[in-house]
Amino acid sequence: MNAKILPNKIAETIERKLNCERVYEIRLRADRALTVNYGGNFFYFGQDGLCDLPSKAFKVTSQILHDIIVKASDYSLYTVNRNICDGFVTIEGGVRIGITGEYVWENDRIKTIKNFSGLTIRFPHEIRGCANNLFKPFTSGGLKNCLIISPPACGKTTMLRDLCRSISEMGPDNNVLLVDERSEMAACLNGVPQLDIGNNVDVISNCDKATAIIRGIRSMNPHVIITDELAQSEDVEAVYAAACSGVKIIASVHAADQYDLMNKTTFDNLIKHRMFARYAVLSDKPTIGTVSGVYDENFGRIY
Amino acid sequence: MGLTTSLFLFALSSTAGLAVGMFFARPLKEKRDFYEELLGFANAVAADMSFRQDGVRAVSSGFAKNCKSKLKAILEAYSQAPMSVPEIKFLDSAENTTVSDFFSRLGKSDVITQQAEIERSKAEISERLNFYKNKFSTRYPMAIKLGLLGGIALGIIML
Repeated sequence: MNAKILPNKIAETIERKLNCERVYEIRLRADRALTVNYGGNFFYFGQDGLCDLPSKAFKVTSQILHDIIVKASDYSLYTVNRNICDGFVTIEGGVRIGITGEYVWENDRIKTIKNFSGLTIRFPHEIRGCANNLFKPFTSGGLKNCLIISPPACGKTTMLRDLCRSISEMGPDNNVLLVDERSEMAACLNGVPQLDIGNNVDVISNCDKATAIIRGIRSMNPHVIITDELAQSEDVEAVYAAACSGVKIIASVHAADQYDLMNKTTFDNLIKHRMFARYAVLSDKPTIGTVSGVYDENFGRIY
Repeated sequence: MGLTTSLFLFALSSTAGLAVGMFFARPLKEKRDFYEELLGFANAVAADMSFRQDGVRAVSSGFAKNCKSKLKAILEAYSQAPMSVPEIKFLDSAENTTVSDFFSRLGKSDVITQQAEIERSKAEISERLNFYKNKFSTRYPMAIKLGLLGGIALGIIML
């Protein structure tokens, strides 16, 4: 766990009191108690470790929030201004820091965020083999267009990363283009992925999905494109165009389940044309990353 | 005393006088060169903010390579530890505060504030630079002349 951006006292206490492999998230809010997502549940966190009362937890100050972002930017806050405007900064190891604060606007565009009010630090966890239950239904009879449906914090990014690795390991004739918009899946640093995404993978980082998909197809000639969190209509149109050109798509979407997906009008076209041959629904019950069902293009249950 | 020895002593005392004059004028030259390069560094950071956005570590270590003044060591140390505020001993207290303030704020503000801070710092640095340029242009020749005259006078006395 990359905790060097945290104040020394907090980082040392985390390393001393907790199993870092189970720390998924740290939430810091100005002038309020520190909370930690440990093993999938939230707790207050203080000098003595996990606690139930905010009064016993570390109190976060505005200065701490500011110092964390300054450290995350390697003491050059202006170099990450674009990321700050997007609401998050990703650092070494794929650690993603979500930012809230006061937005500064100029000519209808976000110029920066100042006076940070809260940070959410999410730590990636590689789990090799977590996508094994999806690999066979997604690839049996040939690789298919697949969509992972998941509520927030159910492990879809971890699942996609493992799928990317597995598909890449099928052989060099499976060239994968990974569209890593928020630098979470590959977490490239100076062009080198820091997380295991497999050998035969090209990564486009820090770029919106639509642009990355169009340019990636033209320049890298992929067999399959993997991307996280389809949301905007531009994203959906881009994957549809990619699929029509013969490239396989594996993507994810924020939704509670397949019924919730059907209510999202942005996806009407994809569902109507049966673009996705497989849908997989994730859940956090009993644990994060549970595959609660795999469905075919008509939402008929397969698994 | 032979003529050769006398001439040698005369030349030696003149040279010594010249060296003394240059020695006393040296701090002015060091400060002038320091502020000149510091202004160049501030401009380099401003340019980096608008263009490459490599960060203060990269800009300071890159700029240090071409520095000839006392700024070189400061930038080299700063590029290794940008969280530390450098102490610049050859400046007076007020100048030290101004320059330390510049470095302590570098890279630690949002874009809008940082641009304003750099412009303010550049104005302060330019003011100091002009002060030492003017002082150097008047005092340095005077120090050289006085030193040389002193050396010549000493040489004559010894003769």
